[in-house]
Formats: sequence, structure tokens, C-alpha cells
Amino acid sequence: MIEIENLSFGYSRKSLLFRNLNLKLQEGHIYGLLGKNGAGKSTLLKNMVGLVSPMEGSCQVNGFDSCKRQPAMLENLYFIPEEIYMPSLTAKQFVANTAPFYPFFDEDAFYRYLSEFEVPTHAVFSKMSFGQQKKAIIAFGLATNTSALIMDEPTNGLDIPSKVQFRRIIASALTENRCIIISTHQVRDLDSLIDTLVVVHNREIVLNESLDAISERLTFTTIPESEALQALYAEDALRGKQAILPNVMGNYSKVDMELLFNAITSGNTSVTGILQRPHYEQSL
Amino acid sequence: MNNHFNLSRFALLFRKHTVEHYKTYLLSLGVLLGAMFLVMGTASYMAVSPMPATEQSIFFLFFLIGAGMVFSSTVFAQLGDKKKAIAFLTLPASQLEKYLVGWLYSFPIYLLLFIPSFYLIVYLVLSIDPRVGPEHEVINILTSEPPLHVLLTFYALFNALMLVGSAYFNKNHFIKTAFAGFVGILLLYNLNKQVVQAMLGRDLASATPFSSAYFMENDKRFDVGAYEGHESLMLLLLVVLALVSWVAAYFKIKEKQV
Repeated sequence: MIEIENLSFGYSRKSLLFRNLNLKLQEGHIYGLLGKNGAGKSTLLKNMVGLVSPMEGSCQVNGFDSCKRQPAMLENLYFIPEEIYMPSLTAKQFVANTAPFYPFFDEDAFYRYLSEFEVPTHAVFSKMSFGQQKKAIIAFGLATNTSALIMDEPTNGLDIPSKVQFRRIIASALTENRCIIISTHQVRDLDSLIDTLVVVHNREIVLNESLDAISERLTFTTIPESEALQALYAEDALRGKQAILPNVMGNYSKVDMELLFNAITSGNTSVTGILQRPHYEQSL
Repeated sequence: MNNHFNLSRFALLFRKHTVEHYKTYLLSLGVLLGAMFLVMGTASYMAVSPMPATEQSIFFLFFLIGAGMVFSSTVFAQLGDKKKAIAFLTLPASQLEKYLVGWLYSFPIYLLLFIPSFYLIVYLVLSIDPRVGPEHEVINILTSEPPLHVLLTFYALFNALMLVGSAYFNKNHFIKTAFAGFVGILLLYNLNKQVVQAMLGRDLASATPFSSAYFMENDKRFDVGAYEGHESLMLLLLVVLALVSWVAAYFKIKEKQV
């Protein structure tokens, strides 16, 4: 699907944003790409889409070099940037002129998504509010049925009910032939939506694990202050401490993505150490 | 799938571009018609006699090149706007097809619209001038001076340079490209003069690139240059330069990063 090999990229050779980056993203998953501001999430997505060219290494989408921006690659990939351009056209006119470039476009699904997002079909896109425009382009992106759907901060500009709709619609649009990548710095927007977490930190992919695999290795719980020393990472909470512990009992706990993200980006190596350890070592 | 050029995909892209831009283009045409009427009408009103064909051909040259350069500088201006550039570059069409749509609009389609528009204004200006008789001469672009093929060659070159500028610069495309052009001409002229002076071993009053040089001695002017077939050679050079610039504009779009 999307395969990044030894990718080095920077806007100048002197200060590289990524060095020898490796990442594989598969169909049938919704990936959440997390990172601090300026960590390079958008730049990583731009490398995937071919909007920038790597200095070294490669990025391939469905076997095509993304930086060549060939139609065969682009017709099976849809990218929704953080800031979008919408022409002065209605939904119907936009579909008539843009949808034919996407061979698997589903017009009925597009109007269904628009209706679910409560976006008027007769209004001119450029005259809509930013939130409405964003929902319209998300609806279009989903209806293209491309095998890769990449979204950069898609929930920016959406109100709370729209964020709920967004999570529901994205979850329903995932098929086994589709890979959805969502970059965000608002971790809670991805709650109950993504199945795999990718974290970019200090020019590296420090985590690329499914939530199930994370849950197998770590326990997310609230503990009393007195037990804080046993935790791999802990933060103050209303009652005691929110903590990450090694999952020694094999019990399932819901992954607290914000807590995990804070642990990783605070430089806590014990959490990443456990997550990066090979599976066979975990069971020993 | 052909990843370089596909006719049906190109037709789709042409239609999409037209639907998204026709209002702006029609508005621009309206502004051009208004500007031509204003300038030529004022010139005709202030002149002591009706506008002769020679003066019409000067206006033809001025508006063809001037308006064409301004229009050409906007064709790929969207690449300077990050939001529009992303929509443009990620659309599933080849970079060649995207380039050709811009080229078609700025070169053949522009000419097809400009020429009848110019005639319309000429007829309008002459028709409202009471001094114009039935025998008054109207410009014939096929026979007027400078010849049409020379004009088209110059337009091709200016169009190509403006396409490069519109793809290269992110803002103020026309001003920046024009400025870069003037700097380029100045550098070329001075470099050429230095080289020719070194070749001839003497100071020159002037040495125009791809043309002649002259110097003064005892108050007499001496011209040095290849005059046989000189005009054809100049035109050929301009054509080559236009072709190179069109190719450069294509590669600039192909390699564009956002």
C-alpha cells in the first residue's frame, strides 16, 4: 500500500526533518498519525502524496513512486490538506467536473455523506463556512473510494456534533481494500476511530502499533498517588494518577492515546522500550 | 494506462479548467475590450485625422504582446497559492496534460479571441469617428508591418517566458518575470559586448546580441555584422528560445513542490 524506505527529507540539506525513515501502511486500517507541532506530520503526508520529493530513499503508493505524481497513482489516492481550496461550484457541478478523474467514485455515497454531514447540496462551495467546506471535501474524498485516503487535521474547523459524525462516517467507510490515514494533534478526536497509532517524534517514527498490540503490552489505569512509582508513566488526575503500567496479567484496558502520546513525547523510554520489544520477548 | 498523455483525460481536464475559470476569463476579456476602446478611442479623438492603418498596427502590436503577457503570467499563478497548488498537483492527470491546458489557453485560444476583439474595437472606433469615409483603410494583419509571423514569434517568446515566471514565482508573477527579463537582457547585452570587444580587439559603441556591432573612427561609423539572412537567423533564435522556455515551464510544473 504505502511503503517508505530509508526516506530522508528536509527543506534544506543542512537541517533534515527526517533521516532514514521507514514505514509501511497496509490496507484495511485507519491510522492515526500523531506528533507535536512542527514534528513533521504534514511533511510526512506530503511525501506520501508526492507534493515534495525525498532527498534520499523512496516513498511508494501502490507500487508507484509518489514524487512522480503519475495519474495511475493519483486516481487511487485522495488527499485532504489542512487548508483546502474549494472552487465556486455547487456540489453537483463539482462532481460533474472532478469525479470523472476517480474511476471508483460513488455519487450516491457522496450525496449520502453530504446529507449526514448536513451540508446543503445546492450551495456554492466557496461561499460556505470553513467547517461546511471541510465536511464537503471529506464527503467527496470518501466517495472517491480510493485505496488510500489521507487527511491532514481533518477535524480542524469542525464543531462537536460534526466531529462525532466524522468519526461515525469514517468508521463506516473503512473497507479491507482501503487505508485511511488521519494526522492530528487533537488526540481525542481520534478516540474510538483509529486502529493503529503512528507517532512521529524527533525525526523518527517512534511508534507504529495497533491499539490491540499496545493494549496487550500496556495497561492504562488510574492509580493512587502512593503507587505512582510502579508506573512507567503517570500524570496527575482528579482522583490519584492516570498511569501506564506494564500489562503483566494480560488484561485488556482501553488505550489512553493522549496519555501514551504524552509519555512518548516526554522522552519516557520505558514505554517505548516495551512497545518496541519483539513479541516473543513479551511472552517470556 | 498512459501516464503521460490520454486524450479523454485531457478533455476532462480542459472541461474542468474551463468550468472553473470561464467567468474570470470572460471578465478579463471585457477589461481588455474596455481598455482597447478607451486607449484607441482617446487616440482617435485627439488626432487631427482618422486613425490610419499604420497606427492601428502599432496598437495591434502593443495590445497583443502586452495583454498576452499579463494573461500568460496568470495561467499557472495558482501554483503560488498553497491551497490551490495542492488541488492542482494531486488531481489525477499527468503534468503534461495540466501544462498543455494552460498553454492552450494562453497561446492559441488567446490569439483566437484577441484578434477578432481587436478588429471589433477598430471597427467601433472608426464607426464613431465622423471623419472616416467609406474608403478608409483598416488594418490587415496578414499584410501589415511588422509581419504576422514576426509578431507571433515575439508573442510566443513572451508567452513562454511568462509561463516560466508564473510557474516559478509564488507572487507578483508579472512584475517579477518582467524584472527578471530586463535584468537578463541587460546582462546578455553587456556580456555580448565584452565578448565581441575581446574578439575584435577594440572598444565598440554598441554590440547588439545576434545582430551587428559598430564603432566610430575619425567621426565615421563602421558596422560589423552578418547581414545575409540575418533576420531569419534572429527569428530562428527567438523560436528556439521560445521552445526552450516552454519546455522549462513544463519541467518547472512537473518538479513543483508545495
